[in-house]
Amino acid sequence: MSAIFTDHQAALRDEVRKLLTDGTIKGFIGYARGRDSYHPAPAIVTRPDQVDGLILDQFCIFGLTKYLLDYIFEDGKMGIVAKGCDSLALQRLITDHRVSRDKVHVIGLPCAGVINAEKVAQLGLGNVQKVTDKGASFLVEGDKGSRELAKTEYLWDKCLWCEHHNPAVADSKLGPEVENVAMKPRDYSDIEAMENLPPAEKAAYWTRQFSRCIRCYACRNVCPACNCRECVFDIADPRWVGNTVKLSEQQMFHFTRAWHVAGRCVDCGECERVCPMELPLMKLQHKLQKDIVKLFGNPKPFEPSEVEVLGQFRATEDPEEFM
Amino acid sequence: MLMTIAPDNLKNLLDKLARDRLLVAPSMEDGVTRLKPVHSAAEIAFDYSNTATSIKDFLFPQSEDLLRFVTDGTLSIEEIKPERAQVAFGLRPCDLASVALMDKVLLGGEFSDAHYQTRRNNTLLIGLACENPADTCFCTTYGYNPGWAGAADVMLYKDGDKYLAEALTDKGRELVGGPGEGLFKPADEAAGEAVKKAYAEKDVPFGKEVDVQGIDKILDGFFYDQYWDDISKKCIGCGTCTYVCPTCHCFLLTDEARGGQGLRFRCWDSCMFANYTKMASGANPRPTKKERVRQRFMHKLNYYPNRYGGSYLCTGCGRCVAMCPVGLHIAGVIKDVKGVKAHA
Repeated sequence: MSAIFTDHQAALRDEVRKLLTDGTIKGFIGYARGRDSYHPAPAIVTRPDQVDGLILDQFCIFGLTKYLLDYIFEDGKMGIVAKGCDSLALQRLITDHRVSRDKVHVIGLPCAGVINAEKVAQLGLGNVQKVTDKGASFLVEGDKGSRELAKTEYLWDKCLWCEHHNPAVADSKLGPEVENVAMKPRDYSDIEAMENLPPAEKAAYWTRQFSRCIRCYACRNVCPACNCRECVFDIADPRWVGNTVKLSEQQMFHFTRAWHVAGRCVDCGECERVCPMELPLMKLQHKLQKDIVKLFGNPKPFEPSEVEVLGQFRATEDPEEFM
Repeated sequence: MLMTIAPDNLKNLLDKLARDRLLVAPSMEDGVTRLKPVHSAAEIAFDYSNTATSIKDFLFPQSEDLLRFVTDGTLSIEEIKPERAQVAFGLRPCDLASVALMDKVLLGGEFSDAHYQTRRNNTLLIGLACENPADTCFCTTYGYNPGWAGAADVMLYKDGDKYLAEALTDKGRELVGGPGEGLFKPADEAAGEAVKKAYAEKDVPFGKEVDVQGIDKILDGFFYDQYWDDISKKCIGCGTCTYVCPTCHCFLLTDEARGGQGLRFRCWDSCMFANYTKMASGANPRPTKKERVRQRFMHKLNYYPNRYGGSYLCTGCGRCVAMCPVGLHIAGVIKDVKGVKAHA
């Protein structure tokens, strides 16, 4: 049995209170209770009296690092709590020169996986009282019932193949590092299956998905790789993408975004998780990842690097004769 | 007059209606149940708490062509009218209540919105009372309930192996006497009233947690409160809440012209977007998330009741509660402002 996030809640509050009080940070980006016990919400606190509202539990999935962009033009440091996957997102923002490392105080949170709240909330367990890590499973105890849930079934997919359990960027850490092994190998079999479909079926599938898009831009707004100063989709003149809600505009938006973050996506999956219409947006990224692995020999395109596969030009090495 | 209709007859009726008008109904696609055009009753999902999207999509669509114009020396304008008849089936009480709120804005004043008016006239609304309110539903907060018929032309209540039906408008009575002839049977009035009462009194647990009473008055003096600073920090500025909301109705007008021909259309705007109310000069009276978040909740809970007499611009459908990626929703704001802490 290993520690769960909740075990670190008190230490987190103590540390944040200290950092706010001694002036190390001017605000802290963490989690607070959301609409119910399955959905913790992001919370940004600036005063010590708000610190007791901060929580940590095994449902804290939201990637918080994008909020740092709200503070880049202000003096002082922001504090943030980051799991391994969140630290990749933070590296993305730092590598892209959008966030300066010395303006962030990172409290690292070693993580053995986050429970998929959308699956567990369906089980009728009521208000969650306690979660215990049983090794291969979590015991979730609610006021209406308890269930032991296999990690392979109830963690978020990205947690199963995660190889970044411990934050790569941190000023301090909550608890000891956890064993850094993936529960299963990264798997692109769903992408391969889709590649093998007849073109008409692929087209029908994606037409159905993009037709459902409501253009709320939640995917873009949570994405740590979508960090442009001004997004092309927000420019009114010239208007590159129309405001009308129709398939061609939706496709233009999603394909442009997918290609713009290709090779820069950190595989956090937040775009797909926050989509209110449940568009399988990560399939686009996984296809691009798979191609990058194959075509460019970069085995981990989701790890931010100064030298991006699609961010460099090496004329003499290009196999394309025309180049 | 109360009637009953058997599920098979209801499906027959919907199939019949789909032949000569656009049938809009809850339908499940890739795990999402939303209101969408369907070709037949076979595509309809009958087992859902609420749909991800609302009736607004079909009365006040997300984008709508208004007119075409030609400027080849002279100016000619051709108005585009949404003539197609539609029938929307399976509307929940929150959406039926929302139509009445939208009517006040778009039809209630000195001028009425011609396109909205045409769609309202052309659309038959068939409501379906809620058997299982979701844990995000709080319609009772506003005085609505799981059996609330609102703007429905015909209201249906699932009653055992059949539906209790009530035609509430001329359009509804025309449906029952026209395409529905022979499909409805008279119901026992007393038993039918008991069914309606049971729906009206059905428990909506989340509704009990949210007390909206008097919040319009509290907000009169709340514009400059620190609270808006605190909660707006976590907003990510997406349009989810406003786009799934059955009552948000801000829109943009755009002219797109090329080679002497052009189209004027409108599409929804969202007060959560950074370019909302941004002017041509670049100036924006709502420059940060604070002003934009405040706008949304003040509009719903203060400006609207002040302007339109009493009711709030929210029906407790719970879509923003369920779908806001950061848990910044109207039920939480009501609780906060009334002093019950729900946000950090």
